[in-house]
Amino acid sequence: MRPLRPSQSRASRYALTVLLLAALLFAGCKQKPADVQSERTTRSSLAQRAADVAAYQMIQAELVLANMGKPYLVLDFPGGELELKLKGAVVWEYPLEIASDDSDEVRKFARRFLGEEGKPVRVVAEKYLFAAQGKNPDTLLAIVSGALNIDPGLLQRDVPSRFQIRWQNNLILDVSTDVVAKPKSKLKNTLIEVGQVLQRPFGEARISMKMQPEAAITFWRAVEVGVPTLVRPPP
Amino acid sequence: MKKTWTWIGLILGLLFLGALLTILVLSLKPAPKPPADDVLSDSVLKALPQDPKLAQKEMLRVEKALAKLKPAGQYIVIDTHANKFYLRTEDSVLYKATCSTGSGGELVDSLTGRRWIFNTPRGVFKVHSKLTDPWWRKPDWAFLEEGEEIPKDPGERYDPEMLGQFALGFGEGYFIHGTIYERLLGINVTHGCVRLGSDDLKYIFDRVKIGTPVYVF
Repeated sequence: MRPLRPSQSRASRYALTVLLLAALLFAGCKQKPADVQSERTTRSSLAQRAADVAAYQMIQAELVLANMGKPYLVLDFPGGELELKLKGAVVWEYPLEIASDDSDEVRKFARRFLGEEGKPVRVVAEKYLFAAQGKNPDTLLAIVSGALNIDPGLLQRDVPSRFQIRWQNNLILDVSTDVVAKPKSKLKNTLIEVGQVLQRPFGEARISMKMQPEAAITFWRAVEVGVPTLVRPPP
Repeated sequence: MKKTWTWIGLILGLLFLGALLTILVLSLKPAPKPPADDVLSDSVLKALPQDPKLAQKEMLRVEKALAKLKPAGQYIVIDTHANKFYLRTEDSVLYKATCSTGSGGELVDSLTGRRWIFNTPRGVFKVHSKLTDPWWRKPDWAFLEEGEEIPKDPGERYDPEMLGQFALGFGEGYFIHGTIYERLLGINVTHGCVRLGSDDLKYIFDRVKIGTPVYVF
């Protein structure tokens, strides 16, 4: 074998360096998609973990409410249902169709409901009946109450025309029906409305829905102050 | 003179404002303190284990616990607010009827001081018994309500017609039964039992087994 000349050996060293660099570059290029892949996997597993944690919290929360043995309300936005449940069983339900059809408003409501801590349960803080009419004619109730010796007020049922269910953190569910009825108190209604307008700049989330009068009787009466409410947020 | 009128105007204005404020204050009852929003304290909700296998196991455990609470088949729901009766499953309503539930009225025996409140009990119960042509054993309040003397002979307590053709007992002496006052269905007129119209009662009686859960709210 002939010995290499100095110029030849330098050239081969350059060639080797270039080859090495090329190999490194190649290897680097080859690695990049793998990194992206692993980053994607990490991100998706984190998202999956967050979803699992949220689902776990939701089931645990419902389990606690179901074990209380008293009715609780579920605002199921993904399922589009408003439900009253007792010991985990549905006892009353109604389609949760928001009047404004504004998904942003629904998201804002759910976000505000969950709050920073992400707790899916709040209790009904207040409720207010704007207008309603009696279900049974007073004359009939007078006869029945006379015969049974019962206060007619106990026998009557309000068929609501409009009412509100409110939770802390300025969360309002406004329900109206097609029933035409006299306001319970014009002055109080105005004061409530003015109060809510004044509070709006400090933050509020309100959703409005229509309801059949018969369903509204149950919903208005069964959702008492203190009833726990579980919200399943929209996706 | 002008000054006097100004003063009178001011005083009248103040009086008017005062009256207006008084009306406002009187019309607005102080808002009751809202209930605490802490149904679920931090200690109640556990954190999901970090280990994926343990997390999956824990998820399955809570899902199972919740599913176990729900009725597996058909169940009865009694809505005392709207006086509605439902036979349903978790997913659908199989039958709906108008019923009558407890009035919430009160009766006090002036002689003994005994007191009855006529509410339909709320909660979860089960159908304990199914009776055909049931006879009603009238309790003391039924006589007191009518202003009658409580009979010493137990035989005088039985009424063969009041409960209709069928009765389903759901515990604590409460029944789902018929009525001779079908025109009053939909109104809260009972002493705690649940009244149904005769056709609805027959339909329900034929389809409900002993042990069927009864949810009253």
